[in-house]
Amino acid sequence: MAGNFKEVKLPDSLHKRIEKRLPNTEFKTVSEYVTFLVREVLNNIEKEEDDQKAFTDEEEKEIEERLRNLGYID
Amino acid sequence: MGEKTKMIIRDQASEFTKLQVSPETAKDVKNIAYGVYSPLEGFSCENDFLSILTHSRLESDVPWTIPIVLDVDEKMIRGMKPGDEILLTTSDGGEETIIATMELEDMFEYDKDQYAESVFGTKDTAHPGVKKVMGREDTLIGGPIHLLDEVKGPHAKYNLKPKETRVLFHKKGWESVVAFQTRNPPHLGHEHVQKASLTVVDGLLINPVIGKKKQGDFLDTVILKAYETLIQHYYPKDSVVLSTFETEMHYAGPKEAIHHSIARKNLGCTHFIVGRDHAGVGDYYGPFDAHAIFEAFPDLGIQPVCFRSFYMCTKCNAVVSDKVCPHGGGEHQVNFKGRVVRRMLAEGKVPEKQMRPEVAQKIIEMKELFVK
Ligand SMILES: [Zn+2]
Repeated sequence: MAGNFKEVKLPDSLHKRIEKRLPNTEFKTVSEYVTFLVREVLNNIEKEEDDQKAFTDEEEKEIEERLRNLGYID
Repeated sequence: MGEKTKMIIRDQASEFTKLQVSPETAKDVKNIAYGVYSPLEGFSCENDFLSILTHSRLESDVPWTIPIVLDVDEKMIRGMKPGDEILLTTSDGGEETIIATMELEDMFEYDKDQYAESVFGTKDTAHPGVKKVMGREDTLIGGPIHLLDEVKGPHAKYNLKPKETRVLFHKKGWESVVAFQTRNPPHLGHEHVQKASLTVVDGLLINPVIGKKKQGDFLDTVILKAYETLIQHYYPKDSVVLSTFETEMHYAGPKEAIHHSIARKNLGCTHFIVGRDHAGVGDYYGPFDAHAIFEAFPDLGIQPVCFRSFYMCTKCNAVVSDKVCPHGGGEHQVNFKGRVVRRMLAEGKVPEKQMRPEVAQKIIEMKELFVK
């Protein structure tokens, strides 16, 4: 079964620039290369957002207490 | 879900359709509820199911390689419609416990051959994972679950949840944490790999898989006691945490290496050790297939630490890997042989130069070693 794809537009110059790089990579097409890069970049952005979601102090204290009871912290 | 809602649901339990699930599926329920399988909130619906099999990603593009599914006898859900709630129960030989509610969002039939080919790379029913899939019911149901109660296994105190491991790592001041997946008691090679990785990060999470395994695999208790002994004698206490990953092995090789990494990322780890033939069985996967697959996932959010081989070198007089020792392949290379270690332990002998004597002794003291 083929996957679902949507088209995006790249400036001609950027497309050419990527095309020139392809022989030095494992990617067969510009689309594959761009997909890889965009996923990598998005992951970094999403990770930063994730890291900002901390626990409330109360929640953290409760968890610490449980970890202490289980012997994971002194 | 609040305690009050939980109570009301338990009170009205007789009015719900109940579905009894296996102890292994009950572990999936827990893993979903606690975020080990984040971003999943329930069992796979058809859109995600097909997306995983074709792209190794959820429909949201998040990497995911092994669908978490719930199969049912079609008769059980006849007459039900999307939006209906059902109760999931389990019983491990004893009393039936209500563990979760599930909102029925989707019910669908699926192609088992497609599943097997995608996840295991084979349709051969001699493969234990394929055999299991072929034995499943023909209908899958998907939808979000809400945990009501968990069945605590004999090793519950080792089963830290993602929130707990994250707080624990933070408390210890670890910013980088490498996870080690295992289903065996540690020999010197395992210790070498863990310590080589630990050298460049802040902490090590030893994270054995606890759950249903194949006949002849080491019992969970043996693995845990062996690691406790190793840590006690050979690891700095502040560098290591031992906690379990309660799940069933699929033996899906590379696809399972990705699955394992995602779970460890959710536990708060930054690195994941991938050895030779990770989660493999028989000769179904090449020894380094589980390394290569990571190239397709630049957005996994956890870094694989790939090891090719490690052995005892009699010339270096140390446990080494082919990256650091030039004497591999010759008379100086002494391999770690899981099979030999296993046989010697079963015979009550200490496998010298393969396993720490304290660890071996601890194992030998135990009466039962293997899954029957
Ligand atoms: Zn050497």
